[in-house]
Amino acid sequence: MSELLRVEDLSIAFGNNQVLKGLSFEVNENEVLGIIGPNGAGKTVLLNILTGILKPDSGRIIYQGEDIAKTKIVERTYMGIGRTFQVPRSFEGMSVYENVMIGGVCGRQMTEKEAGAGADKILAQINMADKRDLLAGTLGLLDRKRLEIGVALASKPRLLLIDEAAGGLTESEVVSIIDIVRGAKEQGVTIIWIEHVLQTMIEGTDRTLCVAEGRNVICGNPRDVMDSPEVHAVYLGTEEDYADEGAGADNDIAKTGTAQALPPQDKTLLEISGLNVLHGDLQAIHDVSMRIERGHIVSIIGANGAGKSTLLNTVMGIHNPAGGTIVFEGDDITGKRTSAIAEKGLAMTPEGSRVFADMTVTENLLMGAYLPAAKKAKTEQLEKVFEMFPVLKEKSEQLASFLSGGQRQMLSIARAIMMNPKVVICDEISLGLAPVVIQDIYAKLKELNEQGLTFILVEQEIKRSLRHSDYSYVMVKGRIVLEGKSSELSRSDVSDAYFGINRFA
Amino acid sequence: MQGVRKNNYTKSLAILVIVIVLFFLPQYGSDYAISIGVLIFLYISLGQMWNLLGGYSGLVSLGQQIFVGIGGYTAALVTEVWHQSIAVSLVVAAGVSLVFAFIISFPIFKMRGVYFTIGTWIVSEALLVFFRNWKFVNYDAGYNITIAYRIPMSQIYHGALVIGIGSVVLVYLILRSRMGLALMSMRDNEGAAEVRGVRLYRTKLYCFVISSVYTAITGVVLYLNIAYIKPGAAFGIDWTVCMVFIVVIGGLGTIEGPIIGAVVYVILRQYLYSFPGISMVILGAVAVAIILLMPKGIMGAIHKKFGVEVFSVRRRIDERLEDGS
Ligand SMILES: Nc1ncnc2c1ncn2[C@@H]1O[C@H](COP(=O)(O)OP(=O)(O)OP(=O)(O)O)[C@@H](O)[C@H]1O
Ligand SMILES: [Mg+2]
Repeated sequence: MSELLRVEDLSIAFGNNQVLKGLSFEVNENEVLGIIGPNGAGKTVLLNILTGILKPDSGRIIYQGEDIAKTKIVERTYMGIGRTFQVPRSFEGMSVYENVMIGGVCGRQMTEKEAGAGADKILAQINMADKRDLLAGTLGLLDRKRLEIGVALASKPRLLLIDEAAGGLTESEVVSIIDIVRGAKEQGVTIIWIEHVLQTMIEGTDRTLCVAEGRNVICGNPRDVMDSPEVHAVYLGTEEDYADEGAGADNDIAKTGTAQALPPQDKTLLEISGLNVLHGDLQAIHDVSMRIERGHIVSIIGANGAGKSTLLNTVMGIHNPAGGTIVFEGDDITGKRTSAIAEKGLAMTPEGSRVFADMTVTENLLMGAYLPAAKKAKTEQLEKVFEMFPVLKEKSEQLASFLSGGQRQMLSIARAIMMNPKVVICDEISLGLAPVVIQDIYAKLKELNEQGLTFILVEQEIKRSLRHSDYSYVMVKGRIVLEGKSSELSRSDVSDAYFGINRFA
Repeated sequence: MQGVRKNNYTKSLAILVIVIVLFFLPQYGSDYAISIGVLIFLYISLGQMWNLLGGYSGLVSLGQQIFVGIGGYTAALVTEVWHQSIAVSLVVAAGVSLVFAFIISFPIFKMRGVYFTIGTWIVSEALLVFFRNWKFVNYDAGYNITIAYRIPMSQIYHGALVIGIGSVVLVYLILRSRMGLALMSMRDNEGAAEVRGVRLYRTKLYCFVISSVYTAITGVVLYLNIAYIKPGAAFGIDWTVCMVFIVVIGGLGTIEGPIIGAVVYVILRQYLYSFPGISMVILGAVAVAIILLMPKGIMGAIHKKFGVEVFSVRRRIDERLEDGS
């Protein structure tokens, strides 16, 4: 096999943050190389260097036998280097179809006709043919992520760089992403694939490289890499979510919560009854009822498009329900303004880790504490979240736009906690986080929970949801199809409930 | 799909009817209506050309009055000093502005963002000072453009109509071309566009040159209509301020935006002549109100509410079917 790309001794620093410290590796023609590593390891920075957006301080990049240090961004695209962005950068005012056409027309100098025919094939490949004429700005996060792959493929890359395509997907959707990558490989494309979803690395890559502290920790057969003690130390931690063990063993870990100690009338914190939500003509939520008890961790499990985000947004007053009531601590909050609801003590981490990019990390956190109740305890809270996420303390004076994807996710969780709320609603809390950080966050959540904070979690990982929650709801197509104490539900109950009905085509 | 095609057909027919009605306006319209028409058409052109820069290429220029001035002075010199025809002055204006746009693109394209904006403005101020002290253009006294008195108003009207419609057609064709895709992607996200293979510098340069040349041609007709030119007015920033106003209230980055904006602007200005002192304040207040109520301009609000686009540059299935592919 001949070599397509060789990276030699790459180093780059931002101020005194030495991100890459002599990283070296190579990729062979038609190989899929996976890259894993902790949040902030420099994986996205590496792609930015490979595509010419960032200049390394030292080191060489040899592509097709040529040093491309001086090659401009567009020239690298013309040479066949294509990429996706971790935080999607779709062209929002253009349709999905036009977005894909850009790849062919601008990246490969095709005529519009050629590019259009190619675009239709690609849309079928990435399962977006039905969204063809929608403006990209109206798409949800996961669709945009998939569109990123489509746009990159449209420029017929020789080397495709993928920066986290599978975060937040259900198992069958992850499989479909693996299939897309395999399809590209069969067409002769060489791929570098960054991902925190380990299944993709094990099933979808030929070799996996683990990067930590700016260096190559280990590189080789994916399974061997996952099993190596070095990778466990820097990246995986101790939890073995990726191994296919039964759920039963976890039941003893499931906690019972603190709610029992309270008198029954105070037990219910949030009660949703008979909720219906419409998106235009489409009914997104059908007659949903839920009871969240004080001091519980409640998880909501469901495929993408099941209506979880719509449900949570309705609770937060972002959508107006067509019917039903939402009662929080005895007060009806149905249809109230978001700010009023937040003031009552509900905080939400938005999907896709939206942060104020042009503000520093500290400013972002203080934005979380704008409510009078939170303002008083500001410094105390700040210390608490800094203790929870030490990286944020390190980067407290930096602009949020310079954070890595995972660090942004941490920031958005921390910002919700800064509000000093009674309930924290976490939409896709583990999306884009390294396994070791996910464990850390769950441990911290548990700590906060023991201090009396209630959580509503949306998770894709069924096992993780069941293990860490007291009570679970399973949603399919806007309806609750299964609910129960997490310790009494098994993983197969849950997957039967939703994969059975809502198989990803 | 049938529906879409039929819709397109109705739309084209409606546009054709409007154009015919406008073409024959001098036969039945009052002088006042004709003069308003002239202004609207010329401002549509100015708006379209500024939109090409500010709305699509991310080039926020505050110096497009340079080209209005070049157009106006060319008209004056060619007709008054050299006694040539209007057609000659159009050609000369195009040539001079082409060369000038190229030359100044080297220094000002080195500047980014707000520096570019300031850079373009400084160039225009410098040009203003230069013209005031330049014997060749009669210093600060300027010229009466007497040929304007000798041609009938309907001729100026038709010239303005052609220029106004021409600007819409030009922008439409650009957006439907390959460069159009590149431009729209730049409008949405410049950094990502570059990674996808868009040559930013070259695309911006093309836009700047096209916009400047067409603005100069518009300037010729503008000054035939005004019939008197002085450096202060010709190179005044007022020109660009009104271009920005038109584009922003109409809808940045849309074809319909500058048309709506120009109509609103010209009509508003007519009413505001009765309040000379505070007319700028009122215009400013209108702009602020529209931006607050409709962040994407009037066209953005219409599009959001009714989903209509008159000049759709979208690439859709039905069109390719019509192409026979
Ligand atoms: N333009 C920049 N200026 C300053 N610091 C930056 C910049 N870009 C990245 N960094 C820092 O470099 C480090 C590596 O960031 P990078 O985005 O490559 O992480 P990552 O490995 O992709 O992590 P994740 O898995 O969370 O996406 C982070 O600490 C980040 O804050
Ligand atoms: Mg990253």
